[in-house]
Amino acid sequence: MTPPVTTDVPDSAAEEDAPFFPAPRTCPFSAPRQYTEFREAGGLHKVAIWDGSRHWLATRHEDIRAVLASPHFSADVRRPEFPLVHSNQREHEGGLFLRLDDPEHARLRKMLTHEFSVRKTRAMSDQLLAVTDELIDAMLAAGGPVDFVKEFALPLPSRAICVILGVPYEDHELFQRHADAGTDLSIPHEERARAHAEAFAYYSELVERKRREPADDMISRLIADHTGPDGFSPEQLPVLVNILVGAGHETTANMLGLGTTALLLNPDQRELLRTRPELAPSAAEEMLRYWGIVSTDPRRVATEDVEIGGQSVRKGEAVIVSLVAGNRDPLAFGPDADEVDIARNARGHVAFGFGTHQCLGQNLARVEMQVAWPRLFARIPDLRLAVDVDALPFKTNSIVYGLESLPVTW
Amino acid sequence: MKVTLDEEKCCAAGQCVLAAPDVFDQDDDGIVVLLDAAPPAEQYAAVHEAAQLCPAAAIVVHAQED
Repeated sequence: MTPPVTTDVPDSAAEEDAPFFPAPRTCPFSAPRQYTEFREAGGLHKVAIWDGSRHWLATRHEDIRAVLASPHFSADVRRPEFPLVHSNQREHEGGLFLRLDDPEHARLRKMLTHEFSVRKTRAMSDQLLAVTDELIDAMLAAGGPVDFVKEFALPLPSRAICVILGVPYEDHELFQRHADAGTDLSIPHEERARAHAEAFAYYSELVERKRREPADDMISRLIADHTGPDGFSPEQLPVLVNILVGAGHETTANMLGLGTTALLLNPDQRELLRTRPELAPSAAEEMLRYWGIVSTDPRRVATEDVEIGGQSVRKGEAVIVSLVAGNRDPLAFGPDADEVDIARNARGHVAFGFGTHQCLGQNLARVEMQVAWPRLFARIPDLRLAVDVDALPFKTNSIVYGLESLPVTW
Repeated sequence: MKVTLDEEKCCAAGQCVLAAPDVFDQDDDGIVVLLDAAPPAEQYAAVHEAAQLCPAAAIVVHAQED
């Protein structure tokens, strides 16, 4: 029997009263229209996912925060009621710290947070700037057009997370392929399982090497300080490192590609950032808000009867949230929430989620964007798209929204 | 204004340090540290924002009569 392909079955699984989730972004620069309509109507709405099961969807900023901050919801994918993002999720991620609930989740998370504090990530600025310059030098030497995703957006965060964790950057094609397989919802079950097994073998070997030859990196520190009965088990460590590498490069790579596109298509905003580089932190928050790239998560199961947005959610029922819909909520960000405004205060966005599971690496992502954009537009002020905007290949069926490639020239 | 913390709740997101760096810091583990438990009036807006942004509701702002 063929295992289920995780998506690509929108209309067969969905019925009129429960549209298929995740819906595609019909306009690549907007939230899915259906979720905008849900948000305008208010309350929670039923959606159907790949396995045919139905769950609540929250689209209002306030409701999303309420779900994610509530102690009455579980993030544990091992729960039978949990709405899995794809058919491999329980097997690949069950028991991992980010899929556990507090207090166990908090206990394990605290073994990682010190690596990603505001101070520690800001201290990487000079190093990130040097890499940024190196990548820009290479682009200028090659001459346009170049694929910005391949030449800049992917290598910058990949090199940063490699330095932090102690993963050899020479292996980037391998780990970037693993990350693609982990986020692409259009590939079959077996292919994702194969990629996961390959990643597990690679990181098991890397962890073993670090155990023999510790270095000044996060993997070595995790082995020294946080393995064993009270920390991460030997079987969990390679999976954890895989997740950290994937989350550490792929998300920011997508943000750098999409954010650059938004700045190129809004020349007044690009000019504002070029002339006022001190707006870089604000610009990074606005891009995080505007794009809201995590398209399929977070998801939670109610552990008690609760009420969200006027809707009663029964114990055992699940709520999925649409981060991009929340980030475009006029009630939170004003009537121009669909516009790019790098000077607005966008810090309340939910691009990193909310609650105690909020993105562990968020401050690294911030620093990467804050360093990259001012430098990029200072050094290549006439950067522009090398293709028509309609020809840009957006990822249409992925856990993380982004661009397959971004041809630019100058 | 009086500010108190529930360090047990803190998940080290760092939002408070970004919103109100004169009032909040992170220790070596990333956990919130209060720099000023009775911040001056010009900090009120930033402190309220920090409390609002905190994903773990670890910051409590108490109105205090002057």
